[in-house]
Amino acid sequence: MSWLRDNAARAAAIVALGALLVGILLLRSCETERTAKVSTKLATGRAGASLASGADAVDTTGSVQGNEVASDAITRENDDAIRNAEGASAPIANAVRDAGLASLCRRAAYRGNPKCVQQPPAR
Amino acid sequence: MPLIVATPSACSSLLPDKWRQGVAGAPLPDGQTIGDWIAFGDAQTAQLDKANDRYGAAMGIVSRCEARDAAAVKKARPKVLGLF
Repeated sequence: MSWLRDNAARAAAIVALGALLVGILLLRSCETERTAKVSTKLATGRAGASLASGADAVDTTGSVQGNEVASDAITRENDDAIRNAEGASAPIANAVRDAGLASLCRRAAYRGNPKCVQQPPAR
Repeated sequence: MPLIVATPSACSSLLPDKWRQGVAGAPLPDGQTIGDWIAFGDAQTAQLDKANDRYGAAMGIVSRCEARDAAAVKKARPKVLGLF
C-alpha cells in the first residue's frame, strides 16, 4: 500500500502521457485519412472539369470553323454581286491605287507580303 | 483541416494553335477597277469578323474552363461540421 501511495503520481503521469500519445496518433491518422479523401475528391472533381472544358473547346472551335466557312461563302457571293454591279469595271487612277496599296502595306497584317516588299516606301 | 493547394488549370492550352497566329488579311487587290477595291473591302471585313469571332470564342472557352475548375476546387473544400 505504501508503495502504491509513493508511486501513484508517477503512475498517473505515465497513464496520462500514454493517453496523450494515443490521442495524438489517432488525430494524425484521422487527419491523414481526411487529407487523402479531400485530395481524391479534388482530383476527381478537376478531372471532370477538364473533360467538360475539353468538350466545350471542341464544340466552340467547331462552331467557329462553321462560321468561317459560312463567312467565306458570303464573301464569294458578295464578290460576284460587286463585280457584276454597274460601274464595277470603272478604272481607278494609278496614283490612288498605288496610295491605297502603300497604305495597306503599312499595316502589320501585310508585313512581309510579297506585294508590299515590291512597293516603294510611302511618302 | 487539410489545406487545398491547387495549381491553376492550363485553360489556354485548349485553344487551337492556329488561333495564336491570328487571322490573315484579305488578299491585296490585284486589279485596278472600283469593283476590285470594293470587293477587297468586303473581304477584309470578313476577316475582321473572323478575328472577332475567334476572340470571343477564346475568351468564352478560357473563362468557362476557369469557372469549372474553381467550382471543382470549391466543392472539394472540406466543411466544418458539414456546414461551412
